[in-house]
Amino acid sequence: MTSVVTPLDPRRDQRARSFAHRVAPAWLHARARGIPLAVLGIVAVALAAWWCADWLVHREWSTGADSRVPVVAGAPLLAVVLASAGLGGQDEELERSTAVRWRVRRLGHILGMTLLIGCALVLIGLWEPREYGAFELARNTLGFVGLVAASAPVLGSRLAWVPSFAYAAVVYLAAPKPILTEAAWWTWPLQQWGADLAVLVVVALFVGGTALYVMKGARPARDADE
Amino acid sequence: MSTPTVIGTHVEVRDLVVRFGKRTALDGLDLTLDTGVHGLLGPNGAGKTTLMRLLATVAKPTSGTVSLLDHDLRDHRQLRRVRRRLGYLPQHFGYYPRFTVREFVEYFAWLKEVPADRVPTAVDRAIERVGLLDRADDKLKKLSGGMLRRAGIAQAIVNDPDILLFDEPTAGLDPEQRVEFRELLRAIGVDACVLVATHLVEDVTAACTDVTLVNGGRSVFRGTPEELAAAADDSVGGDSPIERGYTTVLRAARQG
Amino acid sequence: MNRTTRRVLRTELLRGAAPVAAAGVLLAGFLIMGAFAGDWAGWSGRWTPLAASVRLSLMALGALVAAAAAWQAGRERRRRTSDQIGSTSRPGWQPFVVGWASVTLGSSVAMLVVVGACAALVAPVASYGGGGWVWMIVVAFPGLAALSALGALLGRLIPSRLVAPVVAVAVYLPMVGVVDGAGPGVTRWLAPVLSPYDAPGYTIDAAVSLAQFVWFSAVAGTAIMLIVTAQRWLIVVPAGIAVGAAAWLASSSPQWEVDRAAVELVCTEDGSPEVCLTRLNSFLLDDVAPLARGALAHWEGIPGAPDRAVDETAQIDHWDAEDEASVRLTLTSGATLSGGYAGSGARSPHGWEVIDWWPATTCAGAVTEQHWSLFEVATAWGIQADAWLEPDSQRYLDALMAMPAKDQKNWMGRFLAAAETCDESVLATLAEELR
Repeated sequence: MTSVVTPLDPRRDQRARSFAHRVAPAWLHARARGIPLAVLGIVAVALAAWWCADWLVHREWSTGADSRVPVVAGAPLLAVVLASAGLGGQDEELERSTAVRWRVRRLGHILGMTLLIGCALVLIGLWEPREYGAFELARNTLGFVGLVAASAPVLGSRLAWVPSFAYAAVVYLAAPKPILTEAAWWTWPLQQWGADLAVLVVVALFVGGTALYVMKGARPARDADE
Repeated sequence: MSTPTVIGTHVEVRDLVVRFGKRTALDGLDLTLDTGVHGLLGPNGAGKTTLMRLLATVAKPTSGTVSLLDHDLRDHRQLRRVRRRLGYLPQHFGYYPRFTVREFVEYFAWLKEVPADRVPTAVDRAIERVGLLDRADDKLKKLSGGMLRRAGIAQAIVNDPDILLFDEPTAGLDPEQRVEFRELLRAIGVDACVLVATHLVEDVTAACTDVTLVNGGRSVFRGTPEELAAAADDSVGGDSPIERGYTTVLRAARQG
Repeated sequence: MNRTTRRVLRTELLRGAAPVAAAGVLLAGFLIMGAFAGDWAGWSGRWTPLAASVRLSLMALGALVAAAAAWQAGRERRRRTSDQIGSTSRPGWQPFVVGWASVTLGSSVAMLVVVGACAALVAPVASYGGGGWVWMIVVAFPGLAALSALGALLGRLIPSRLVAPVVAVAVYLPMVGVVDGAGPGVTRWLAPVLSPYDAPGYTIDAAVSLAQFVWFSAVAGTAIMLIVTAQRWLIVVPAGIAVGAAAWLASSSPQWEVDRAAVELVCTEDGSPEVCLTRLNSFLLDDVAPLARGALAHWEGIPGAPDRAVDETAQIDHWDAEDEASVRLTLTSGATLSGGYAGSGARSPHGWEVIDWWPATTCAGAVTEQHWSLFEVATAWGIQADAWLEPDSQRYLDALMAMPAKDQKNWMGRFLAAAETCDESVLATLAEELR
């Protein structure tokens, strides 16, 4: 290797070094947060969701597009839950003492996670983008990311999934059926694309949750778990 | 409160070998210990923690024999009897933040199968001996690092063990607490076998009846702290005779 | 269990995952049961729907409890106490079992509080107490224990920080499928949820509940024994029982069955027109009778008109000639917790038609279809609901309503007679009158 990078070309040397300094730590950081595994999980969730949605709609006694509701609520939830573990480090206090611009990195974390999950799910949701398809998947991704981001500073990254899961689990059961648009402010995971109120609530959740997480970060794990 | 239950050898280790893959952590170590406070010294990676985990019966040797309180650890009934008489404070001491000190120590009394009628007094006594009685009903997450260590010591001694293993016990204790801790060690060492693995040679000088120095997975010195100090070659660095002795013996071992 | 073990269990109940699980069960339980109370097949005033709702709530509650158990079981690894605990004499399964027991006990008590509170609301109101609902509720507890045992098992075996959330989702989603009717039929009887719950008036045999009780207990036993026993062959015992119970459930293909005693009619005794509700719904009689009578008054003076209103649940699995001529009452939703009825007029609060009626006719299907608008108009006039009608029918209805009240009744009387005998020429004339 050293014979390739000749000391006569300092620019080249610098480029090589900046690559090593930038990409390698990023990869290490990603690995420390369990991101490669989460990415695999998200891909698996997307594929499973695609298969389930297809099966639900095409089975004999299918009721049409609204038989995809469990997928539209469940897939973003599961994907976000898998990704939520990466919101905090193994030793959050130790990490914070290092000279890294954590707020920028946290924002990147949230946006990257949203983009990745959103793209994966929108891609599989394009079978029928409007009625319980790509649009609702993207909206619910935003909503659950917002909930998880808001929970991390309070509960720590290891438990940040609890409110999202509990909320989705209860809403799915307790929402009045048929789904009413008047109740959209709390049944947003189950709403159709036309429910503007659901979109508003989700955007508020996403912006609020992201802001909270970017400011505060995940609560250190020491006294949060157990 | 309890009389020593063993007559004979507390710890007897013969030709002990432990390998993790290609790395050899212990390489033919012999060690015999009886009542008293024994220091275990050695540089990082010398195999101290491996030896402690082995004596605590949580790790198994690749070859060689470990006998505790004249019991054969391969027989699970004998192993269980030995474990009842064992106290262990690992280097990385784990705890449950929401437990109070009393609940935590009581939990370990239960785990060590202390008879139910003796548990309340045993728990109080252990907490008292580490000086945490006034904090006994505080949650562990409220305690400072030094207090946590003392709670860890309390869980180790709650069953009045015949063999007590401390891995770096004084980390996080302030000088006054360390003095108190050494007194506690001496008191326990009267009728139990206490093994203290440490980096801090002054702990050894002050509290231990004898010292074992390990290096590269072998025992390279065994004797009293005075004998270790006497082994010092004045040409090596160090602020106290025992530090010079430690360095001298280590260097000799590395060359030999 | 000695005193120290009891103390340790108490400590785990206060400091472990148990209080969190219990709080979750309380909160989610009350929210879900609250939402189910007046909803479709709601449990207000009715025991069997209460039992079915409790079992349906296990979908969320069971998932939460399984996750809490997985979290509790992973504590030694998470808090790095494995070495300290490994050096102690007590067999490792005992702290595991105490941890599982604390989560199960804590969440069961919370569940009992939820069920108890709901039962306290039903008890003073309910008009029918039979139907084996007690066993359907009892089964919820071994169901919870089995889920928490599976969660604890996975939490102990899998060293990942994602175990708890994945367990939660892995418990919830299959149950969504079961409720949705996906998968082979037997799976719905092997899952803790009891669904699809068809409608009030159905129940399941106590023997099925007993088999489910055995099945869930044996599943919990197997999961715990996998950790507890060194003698692997001992697992055969609970596993065998579980397989036996599952086989029984599969072979006997259980069904929701009509609860005859529940659907017997209880009628008003203070003169006509008579209003009859099933015993199950008869707690609503005082509130519904005036509504039904108001609708029947609309028919007064029309020969051949219905003079009786009957709870539709009575015809749950059969058609009764006499009932067919009556006005049907649909009361599957709309009951309030205090035993009253929230609907007014022809509509329930959920938009269902409370009062329904269809003219009795001997016409063949093809003829009915030809004069469909007339039948729709007659129904719309009869039940006085703002139902959506075909444009043709709506025009007819407007024309009918534009007539004087006396002529309306006259038209209806002639229509009823014509429909009864299927006199096509009269039907054609009647249509002409509205054109």
